[in-house]
Amino acid sequence: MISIQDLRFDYGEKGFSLFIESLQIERAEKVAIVGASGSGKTTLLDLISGIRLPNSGSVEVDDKRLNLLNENERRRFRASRIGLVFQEFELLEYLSVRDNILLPYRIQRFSKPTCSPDQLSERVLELAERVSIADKLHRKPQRLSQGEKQRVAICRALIHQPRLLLADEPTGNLDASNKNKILSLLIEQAKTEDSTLIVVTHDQNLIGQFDRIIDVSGFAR
Amino acid sequence: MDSLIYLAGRYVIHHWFKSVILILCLTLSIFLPLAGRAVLKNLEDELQARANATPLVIGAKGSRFDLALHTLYFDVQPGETIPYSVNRFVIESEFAWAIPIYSRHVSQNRIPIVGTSLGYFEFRQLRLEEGSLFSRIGQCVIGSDVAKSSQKGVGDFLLTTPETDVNIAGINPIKMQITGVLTANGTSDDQAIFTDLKTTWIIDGLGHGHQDIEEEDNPNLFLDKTDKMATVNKGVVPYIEITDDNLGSFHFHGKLEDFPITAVICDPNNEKAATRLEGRINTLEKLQIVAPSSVIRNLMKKILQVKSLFDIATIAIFAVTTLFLVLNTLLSIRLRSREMMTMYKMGCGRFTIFGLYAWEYIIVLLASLLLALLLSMLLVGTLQQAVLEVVR
Repeated sequence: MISIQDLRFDYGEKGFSLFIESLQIERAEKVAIVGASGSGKTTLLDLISGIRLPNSGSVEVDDKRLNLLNENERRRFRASRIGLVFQEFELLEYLSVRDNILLPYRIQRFSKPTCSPDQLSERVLELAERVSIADKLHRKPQRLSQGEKQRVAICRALIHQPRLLLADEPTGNLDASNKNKILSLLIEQAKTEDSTLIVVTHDQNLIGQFDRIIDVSGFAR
Repeated sequence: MDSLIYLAGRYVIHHWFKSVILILCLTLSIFLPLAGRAVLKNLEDELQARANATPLVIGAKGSRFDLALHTLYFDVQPGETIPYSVNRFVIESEFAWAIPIYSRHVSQNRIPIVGTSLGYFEFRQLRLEEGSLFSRIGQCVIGSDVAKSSQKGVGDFLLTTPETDVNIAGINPIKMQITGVLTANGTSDDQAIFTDLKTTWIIDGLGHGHQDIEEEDNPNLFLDKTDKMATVNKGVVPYIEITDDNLGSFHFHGKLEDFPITAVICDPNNEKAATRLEGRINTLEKLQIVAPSSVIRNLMKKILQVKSLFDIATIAIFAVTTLFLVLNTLLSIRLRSREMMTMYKMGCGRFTIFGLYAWEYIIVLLASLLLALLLSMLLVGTLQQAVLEVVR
């Protein structure tokens, strides 16, 4: 699914570099990325999603070498195959929960919807029911709790059935009781969707739920 | 595209206060020049149409603008009067049809009283809504607006302003009988009272009748009464009413030819006659002849010069609004950088992000255009009417 070979990424001014000789992540694998602050966890997610390009080496996702794709191709690749969950949720305050979940569809200007509006509505409802926010679809994000916001963000990441789900510290802004729930939910939904899940986390208590743990501290130079 | 419009629309609605401010700023920037232009164009058309329908005007030397505006709209007073003989001079020259105008008086509710001949109604193609034209002194015909505002009609009476306020000769107000109401034609004729020239001269005190005091039987009204003379107090004759019975007693002291008028409207037989008439009048020391159309054209040129200042102000308002929009956009881009970065990370193209901003402004601009159009439809007519009321 994901193959990284001889990757080198320089931060330039910071004088920090990331070296990965070889890293393989299998399809539907649930992986936790850990490491100290500033060790390059988020950078690794950006490289896997094609937001950043390596200085050398290659990142291959689903048989696509991202560094050989141009900006537009990488954008379309992200839009169609990757679901993103952020630490700060990044929900749009002016959209309802339903519209936030549908955002990946709305922003794909050149892509034709893969399903009809009715199918999309069904999909939104199904996801919302799975994460217990079906009764809040018409609310604005500011009227939701932190846990509910992250549930919305998970639905938004899953709406277009991505093969790869990337989550950057998705529990970083949640209280202890919500952390476990949200992470379990994320893993459960990734399993249901048969998606590969890569989660950046600081929380050592949560990593037991993953198939594999990758410590990026060893990649930093 | 639909999704972009939808997202932009949601943003505009969510931030409704900001959107309303933007829309109001843009609406004013669009509406003010639009309305100004429309009102000015309408004013120009109105002024020019009435001026074009009045070929030449003779009056006392002085301001050409005052003479033209006085003849067209009755409210501006020319400095001097001219003798009525000028009217006869024009007729006898056979160059033009002449219509005398004498308008120095107002009714008690400040409506201009225009002394003229019956030819004026034919010249202006004025029609009667009800009643008939005046047939003797003391009668008048009123414009449609006068009828509406004073709620008077045929058979009612109007009082002139008492000349005793300004004239030590102590002429009392004249009670004029309304014989007709003109059909509205949207000009200053709707807002005037028309009467015979002789009636206006009676208002001036140049002609008068003798009221029969002997018929008064209230002893309180008499200060002194003998067989030969009666002295009465002011309560006896509050106004002068000219009736069929006392009509015969009215007479004028002096030659009518010397009595004052304020202008003579001339309708020349042809261009050559107009030129010859102008030549004749221009040789006279105390008279001037003007073509209202060219006077109004010059007046409009001056108004348009003022309008250019208005245009500069409009451009300044537009520039300030544009700068405000630019500032708003820059702040918005800064404030929404995380939102846009999120969209970018999710696979949103830069053009799509640009399109999102663009659609937000297009929606605001369209709303402003619609509002400006609506305001124009609602207000321009009223503004035009108000400006024309002032001019008329």
